[in-house]
Amino acid sequence: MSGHHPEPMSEVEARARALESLLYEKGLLTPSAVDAVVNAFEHEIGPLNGAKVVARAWVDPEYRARLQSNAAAAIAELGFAGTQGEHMVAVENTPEVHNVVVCTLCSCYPWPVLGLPPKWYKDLAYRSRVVLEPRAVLKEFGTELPDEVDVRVWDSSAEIRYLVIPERPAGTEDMTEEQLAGLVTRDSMIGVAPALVPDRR
Amino acid sequence: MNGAHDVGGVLGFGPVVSESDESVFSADWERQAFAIAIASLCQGVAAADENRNAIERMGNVAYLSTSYYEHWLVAMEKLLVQKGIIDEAERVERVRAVLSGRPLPSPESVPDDGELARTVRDAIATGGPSLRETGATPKFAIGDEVVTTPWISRTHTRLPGYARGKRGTIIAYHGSHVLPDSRAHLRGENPEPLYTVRFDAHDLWGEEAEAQAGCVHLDLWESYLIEQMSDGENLENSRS
Repeated sequence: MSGHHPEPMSEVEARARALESLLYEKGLLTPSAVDAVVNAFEHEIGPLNGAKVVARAWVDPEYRARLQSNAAAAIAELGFAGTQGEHMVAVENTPEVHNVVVCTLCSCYPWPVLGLPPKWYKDLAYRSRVVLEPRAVLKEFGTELPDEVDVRVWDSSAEIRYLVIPERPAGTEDMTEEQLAGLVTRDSMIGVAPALVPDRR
Repeated sequence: MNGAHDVGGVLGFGPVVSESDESVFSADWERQAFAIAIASLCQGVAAADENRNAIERMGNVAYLSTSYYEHWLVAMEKLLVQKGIIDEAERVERVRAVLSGRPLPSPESVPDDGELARTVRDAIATGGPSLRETGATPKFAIGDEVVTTPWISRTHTRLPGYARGKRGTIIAYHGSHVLPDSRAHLRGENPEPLYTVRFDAHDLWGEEAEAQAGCVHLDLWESYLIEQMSDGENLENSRS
């Protein structure tokens, strides 16, 4: 975090710094543009956006239907849109079907609803394994699926981005939409974990 | 490209390690690398497909041993030189200067009226759809059985190796989308019908599929797909 480097600068740090300074000189980058990008992805765009979408789908059947027929438009109703979310598909987990999302070729991810991907999503282990052995990978996340559940993997090979709508936990009938959003984790919207249950909050 | 980035189904990368309470960026250089890439892409320096292609060409050993944000940095170093925006010798010299501790001009001395920041913010909020209105009639319908092209590609493609030459079923049609294989190599957008294809896990992995295995979906362009006909005909047609 600090701009001070008591130890020698690493090569990769120097390369990033060098490129940044060259682009400042060429007028293709400004300090406020760097701040704009970092601020957007550190503070404005993140899984809280997706959680609001899921909570709305849980409480409003008409919204849920719109989310299923045109996810990008339904997500835009809540004010979330933009790069890496231009074309969206929402896939719903049920007692019979479990969906999980990956990008084996790079690390495509629905930025407007989930922000930037966590490290494990970008790592070679997840990308290589979840298409071959999704049940084993889910188990490592603590998600053990009954044999009869149909496991569906979505490998984001084009510009369509996938959002998993996790199952609404039992015992949440009296909760408000805002309280429900607090149960919807990033991992549940990638499909590696269920939504939280209220007493685990 | 038939390279090391194409890891679906590859064994030997170990368990998935997830960290709780992870921050978006773990170092300042990651913030810088990502901001450089996003600001450059937002200004149209290169298309996302060119960026992915540049990452795939960084060298397999380097690809497998460096992190996500270093991939972005490598791609921007290459693309900014390729586009003639910076000079490679100048870049190398600047890296040397930074490493030797020579002071760089402070960010406060950079002319900054906030205009580029607004452009970048708008571009992030708006995005850039890949859907194109072409009037093309899709060759396949939902429910059609297809086989993917079996051949490797020396150029950029979004058909993963594990799904080459495999049988699947069209389950959705998304209209015509810019073809990455073309745009990544500056050969134009050449939009093509895009489909979601469902592959039974047993058709992908045979006996290595998990017990109670389900299916894997891929979004594939029309030229990746061959009509399912009688056995034996598919491979011949794909050569034409």
